[in-house]
Amino acid sequence: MTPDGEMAGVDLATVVSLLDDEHVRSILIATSEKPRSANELSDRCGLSTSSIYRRLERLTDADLVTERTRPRSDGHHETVYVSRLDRFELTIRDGDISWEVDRRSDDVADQLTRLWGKF
Amino acid sequence: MAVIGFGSPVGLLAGLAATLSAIIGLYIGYQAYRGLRRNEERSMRWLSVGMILLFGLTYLLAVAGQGLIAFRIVPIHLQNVVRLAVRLTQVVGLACIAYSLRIATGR
Repeated sequence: MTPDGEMAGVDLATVVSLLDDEHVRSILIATSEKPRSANELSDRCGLSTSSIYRRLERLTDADLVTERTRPRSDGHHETVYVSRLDRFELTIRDGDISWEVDRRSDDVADQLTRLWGKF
Repeated sequence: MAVIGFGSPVGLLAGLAATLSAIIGLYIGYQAYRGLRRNEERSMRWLSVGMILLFGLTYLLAVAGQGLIAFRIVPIHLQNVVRLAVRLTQVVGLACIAYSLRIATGR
């Protein structure tokens, strides 16, 4: 997990405004379970694909969602989306504000660590 | 050289398979070690140690032991001692992995 939101060049306002949208939250929840295509997300969230794409673009820019390709049964490939947001933490203490986004990573070592804990 | 058994194609394949399993096992052990460093996850330490014992050390012991016996540096009647050492390393390695699973899921 890579901590720190600043690393991805995202500011707090962007993250908060994204999370303020209930559809964004459903996209993040759905894609945290397993990779899903824009069509699947559209069915699930009851939104048009263009609305889904608009949100996915903002989420990808903020590095909260990542794209992957999935082979289809007809031999073609389709783009699927995976949530990278693991934890968002905001701390206001002693006159100071700090925040942190923990992202899920694609690193083998991190995946092994997560997988091992799930057994 | 019947002890080493590399003389036959099957023996050679067995040796290659053993080497390959050592390499893959050590690769997983290495990733577990990286998981320990990156995530400070205690269970990864034991997984890493277990994999290294199970695949790295047993492999080394088996190869070195057989070599020493084959070249008569170690008398042949000590073959079982080498086997015992290999099995013991395996048991300890597996115990480490089992313990790692326990603390990984015990929270």
